[in-house]
Amino acid sequence: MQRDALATCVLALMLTLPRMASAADAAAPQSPQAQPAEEQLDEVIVTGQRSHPRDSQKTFTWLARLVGQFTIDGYVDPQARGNPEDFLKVQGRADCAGFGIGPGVQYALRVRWPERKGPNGEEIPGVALTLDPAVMLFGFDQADLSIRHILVDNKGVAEDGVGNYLNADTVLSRSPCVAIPANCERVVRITASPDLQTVEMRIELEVDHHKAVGYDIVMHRVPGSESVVYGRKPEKENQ
Amino acid sequence: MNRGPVALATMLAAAMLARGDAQAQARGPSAQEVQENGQHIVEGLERGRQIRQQMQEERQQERIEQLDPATRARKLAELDAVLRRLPGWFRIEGKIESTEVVQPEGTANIPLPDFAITPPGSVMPSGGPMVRVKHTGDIAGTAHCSAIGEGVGLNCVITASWQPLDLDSGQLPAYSYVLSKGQSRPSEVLNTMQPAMLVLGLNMDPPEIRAMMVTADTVAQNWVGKLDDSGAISSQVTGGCKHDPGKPGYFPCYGTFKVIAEPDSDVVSFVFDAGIITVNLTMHRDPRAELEDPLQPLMIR
Repeated sequence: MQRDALATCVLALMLTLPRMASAADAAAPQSPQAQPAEEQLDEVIVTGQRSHPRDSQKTFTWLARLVGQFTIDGYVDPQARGNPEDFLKVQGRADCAGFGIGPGVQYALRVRWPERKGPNGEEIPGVALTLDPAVMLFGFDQADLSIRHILVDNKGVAEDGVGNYLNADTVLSRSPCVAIPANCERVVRITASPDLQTVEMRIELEVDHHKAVGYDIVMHRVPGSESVVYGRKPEKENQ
Repeated sequence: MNRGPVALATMLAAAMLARGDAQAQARGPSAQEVQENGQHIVEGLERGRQIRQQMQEERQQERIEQLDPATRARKLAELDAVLRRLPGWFRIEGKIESTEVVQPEGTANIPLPDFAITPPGSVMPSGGPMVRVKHTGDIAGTAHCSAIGEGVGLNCVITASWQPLDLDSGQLPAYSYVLSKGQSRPSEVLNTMQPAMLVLGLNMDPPEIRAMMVTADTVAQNWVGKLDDSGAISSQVTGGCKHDPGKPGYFPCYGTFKVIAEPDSDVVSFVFDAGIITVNLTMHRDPRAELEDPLQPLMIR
């Protein structure tokens, strides 16, 4: 029971992170312990938990910024030449639910852009429409104190990566491309702004160390939308 | 005419000799003989050589599969078939199992076996012949797996829990060394699937699945796996797990993850193995499980 009480306190602290994050980011750096939990939460059940290292606080703060409902805009640069005339306009939305104590974050993505084929009607690697729908999952890498993520697209292809901090707001990962059979590296740079208004996702596919395709996606938080963290409430003892 | 009995006797003797030789080959040297002759060392080296050769052959096979489009397409189709059996609502009636290594009183200072979760070089404080004792407990919950678009990608929301396993054998569990340093029982610490989010998708070259699970304590783990001979998807952890007891930073996590989904069956199993703990989620397809789903919004901001 003492463990449950402790877990509940931890959970209450964690679930207020988005709100705390914005306050903390706006003000001078301060100890997380100095910030009171701002709202009373229902008792929640967290029966098991691996003890997190002290450094995990930064990751939890970052993950909490991802939770919410977003509209998406931006562009795909199919040849990565930086020429705006080539850009394919991106539109879509994302529902990002938190779960558990961190929270972990799951993105349900629907992202579209105009189709672009090669000169002979062939599919251009990396430019095909694959994110309508797609699912992204984020969690904490307890072994390396980093952020793990995976993206599974509408063709069932899974791209995963391990993100390390460039700064307090931006996480960068590099991993081999799964969908492109070449010497290809997928560079994912995600910036979650401390004002909680936007999440920027820049993905570059580098073939033979040259940028081949670029995605510049900006997610804008829907005004007045809800951020939901899911979990399990305890069963009543007498039930 | 008199040669008949002699020939018969000769044939019988030859047959008995051959049989005796065969029996001697089948019996082999005793364990003590092997130990005394040092054969166990040779056999260990030979076993290691066989394992290395097998790994090299597997890697070579994977390279062939990457080059051979037909083999690659067939493997992807086989994975596709398994993954397409998984969407749906499920009621979980699983088992958690823990193998405890115990030792009756009377023998001291016997090194612990490799498979015990202990710091390296630990010894039992009291002893006797070590035996393995298996503890099991029930797992209950629900799972909802949905396909991601038209593809074979899968998104599963798992809500499952169990009671901590009681180590009621009356003997000292091997991992009590860990517990005595303030850690909880692994069966308790790993009870973090309330919920757990599991995502599965394909790796193209070589044809494999990639999976990632994030549990309610926010810990993420990745696996890469392929079909084994039994038709199950067996995957090994590739990140997010320090599965090396006794080393700094160790925490209980799942080194392997297996998906068993037979064709035309309403039962699917997800098996997570954390060394001495195995979490077997036996999932029965049941649309009514949606009504039992205990997952709720805990916070709406």
